[in-house]
Amino acid sequence: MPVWITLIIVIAGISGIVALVHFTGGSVRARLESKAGALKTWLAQFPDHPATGALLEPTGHAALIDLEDGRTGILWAMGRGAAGRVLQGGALQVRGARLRIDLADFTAPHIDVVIKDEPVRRIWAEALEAALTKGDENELS
Amino acid sequence: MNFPDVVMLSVPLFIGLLVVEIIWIKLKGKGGSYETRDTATSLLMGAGNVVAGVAFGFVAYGFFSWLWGFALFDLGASLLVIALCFVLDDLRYYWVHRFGHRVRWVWASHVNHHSSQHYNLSTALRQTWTATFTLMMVLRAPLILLGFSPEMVLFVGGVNLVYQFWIHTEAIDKMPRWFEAVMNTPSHHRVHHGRDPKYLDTNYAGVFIIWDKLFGTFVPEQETPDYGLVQNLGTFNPLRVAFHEWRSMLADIFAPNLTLRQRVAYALKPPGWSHDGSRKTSDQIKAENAP
Repeated sequence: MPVWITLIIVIAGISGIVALVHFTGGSVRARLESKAGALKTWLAQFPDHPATGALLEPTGHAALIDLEDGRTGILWAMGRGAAGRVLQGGALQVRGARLRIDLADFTAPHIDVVIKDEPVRRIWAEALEAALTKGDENELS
Repeated sequence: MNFPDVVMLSVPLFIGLLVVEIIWIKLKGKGGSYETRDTATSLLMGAGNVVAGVAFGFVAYGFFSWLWGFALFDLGASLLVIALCFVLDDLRYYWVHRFGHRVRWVWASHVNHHSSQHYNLSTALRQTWTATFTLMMVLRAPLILLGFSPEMVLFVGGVNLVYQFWIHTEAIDKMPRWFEAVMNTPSHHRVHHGRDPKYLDTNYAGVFIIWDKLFGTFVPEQETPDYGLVQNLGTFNPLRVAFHEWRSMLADIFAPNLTLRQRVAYALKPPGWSHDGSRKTSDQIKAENAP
């Protein structure tokens, strides 16, 4: 079979399957329904970093996690799953409703949290700034 | 004797079964889940694996052809010989797979197959782009030196890979008991993809689960596994998925102020090993969570 035909089949196959997944509801993102749920999800991912509290983003697509050691963790929806990181340095950019956290982590270079409510976004931005600064200090010490 | 490229021939079957599984899950509301970007990443990893095979396949094939000149016998290509080659190659697969989890150099290549938090037929296609660099092709050398032709060895390896496609599903609960006892099944392989401590580094089998029972790595499925990595990735970018562990390992190997022994250990010890004990291997995680 000529290469160009193979290429068309592969591109069409991948696009078709991805479209099928999307149109059958596959783009729905995971939601953290409650603080307790966020803490449970955190503990499942980071059993060595016990948490004491959580701040849920209003849509439940992300949560800031207060850790016993004083640091802050973040959980966010990765599609229908969730990923998390202990914040250890990084930078925050505010782009309209989007808070972008840039991490020096090849496996999680950016985390985007969209918060439409301005007062809530400000609370998050302040909490993130504090956490990232604290993380920087921890990295230096 | 000419052997067909069974993996390429199976691509339409793979696509057809993926479509069936997606629709089945949607209609039944159970039997697994698909996520758009996760699926796209898995399929792109699969396509990249084929490209890598074309680009680097000559290395393994050249090595096997060279070895064939030193073969003790030429066992021919009877059905019995092909069947024997298939079974022995499955034993070879077991060990390559076990090294893939227990040696970080090999894990760097294999990790991407475990990086999805979903378990469905698309996960089966989430294959490595860097297998050639693990040099695990050397484990096929005994087969060729015994007299199984390189073409036959590659053929049975392809059949092995095709077999493993259908076991990446939650849509099938358990197969008949006799089948579960001998063959690798969706249930056995779900355990292998679990990040739960008791499921880590278990059920390495390709086709026959008997190897795990023989070598003490078999764990039956109890509760539904939590799929993915001990620390899940925060990206769907296929390039990051393919190369993240190589990057991380090389950073460790070339970190300052390490002895030569420590640098070698970062490549050859199990994933999670560190010279200062700041990380955990799967053995340590399992020990801490043992009942």
